[in-house]
Amino acid sequence: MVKRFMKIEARIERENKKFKIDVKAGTTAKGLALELGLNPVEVIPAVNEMIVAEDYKIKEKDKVEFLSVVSGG
Amino acid sequence: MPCKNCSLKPVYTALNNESLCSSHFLKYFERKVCKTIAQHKLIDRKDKIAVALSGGKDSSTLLYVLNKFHQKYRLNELHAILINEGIEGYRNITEKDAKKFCRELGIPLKIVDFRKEFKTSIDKLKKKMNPCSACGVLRRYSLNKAARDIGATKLATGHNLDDEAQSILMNSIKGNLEFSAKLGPKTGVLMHEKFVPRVKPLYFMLEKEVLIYSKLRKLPVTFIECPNAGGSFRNEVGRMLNELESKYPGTKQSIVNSFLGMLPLLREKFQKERIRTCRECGEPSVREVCRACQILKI
Repeated sequence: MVKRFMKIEARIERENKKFKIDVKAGTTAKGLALELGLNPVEVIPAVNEMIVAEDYKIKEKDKVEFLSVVSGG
Repeated sequence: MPCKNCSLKPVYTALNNESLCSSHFLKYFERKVCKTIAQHKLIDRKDKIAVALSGGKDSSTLLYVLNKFHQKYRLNELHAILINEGIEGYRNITEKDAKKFCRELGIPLKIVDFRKEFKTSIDKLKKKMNPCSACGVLRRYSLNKAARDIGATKLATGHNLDDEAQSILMNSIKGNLEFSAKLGPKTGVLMHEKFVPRVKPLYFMLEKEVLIYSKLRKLPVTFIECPNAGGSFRNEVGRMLNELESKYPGTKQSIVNSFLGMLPLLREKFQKERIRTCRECGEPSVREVCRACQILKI
């Protein structure tokens, strides 16, 4: 049976927030950013510590991190 | 979608929807910077370049890329200048990164500390005025002076496409078109004998692309934001631009391209003003007493 939801670990760098979340199978990194209320323009997705493109399809047990595109000031 | 040049996993999808793997992204980035330098005649082989280094991702990326070009094309000297404005919990951290980075690259680093240079700091000045305004004026003043002291013929800064689009929009919102005449990839060429021309080799790179480059190259950068930047007008405009970019990809590029089309007209209109010499410190100024001297008297 094809799983409809997957359990993954997500981290938002800017908010220093780490949590577990269920995502729909086929969710992309960009889709997850939008689901978490992040603007995809302002973050870079990294999966298991490797930078990935926005269209990366998230897999079960992935550790997804959204790195913040901030100015040094 | 795999990388357009090979079958490896992509790390970035460009505005034209082309995907790039890690190694092709790095090549794309460096080629684009090189093209900006060549097309806008930002640097030539005889130039002695001073890079304004903050220790953040933009200036560290700039220093790394220019050092690569320096070795590849046998450019003249390359130096780095760091301004320590006296912002506790911020600049002391990035200064450590900058020192380490320059040591690794073998690039001489000159540090100007506001506490020694001006006997004050942004932490002190922010009790009396907007810290971002004071910081901007005193940083530009110190960078120019330090660049001239080391004999630099060009001062390279890490401004990227996001910074430029923000500045254009900020000046438009505030009705300060004369400030926009001072923008562009190269400024200050014929302004004043004591003014070191400024160049922005990352001018056409998105801030996001700079971050990806710095991460892929594993540059020693601490990703922290200036504690004074939070509620700044620039941050507000930046967020607005990011919303627009998300809805209409290519917005920042279009703003900057349209602006470059108008820049010659803006310069013709606003840059006729004679640049004088500040009667107090002898540095270039549009007023009798420069803004830096005025701030330091407050």
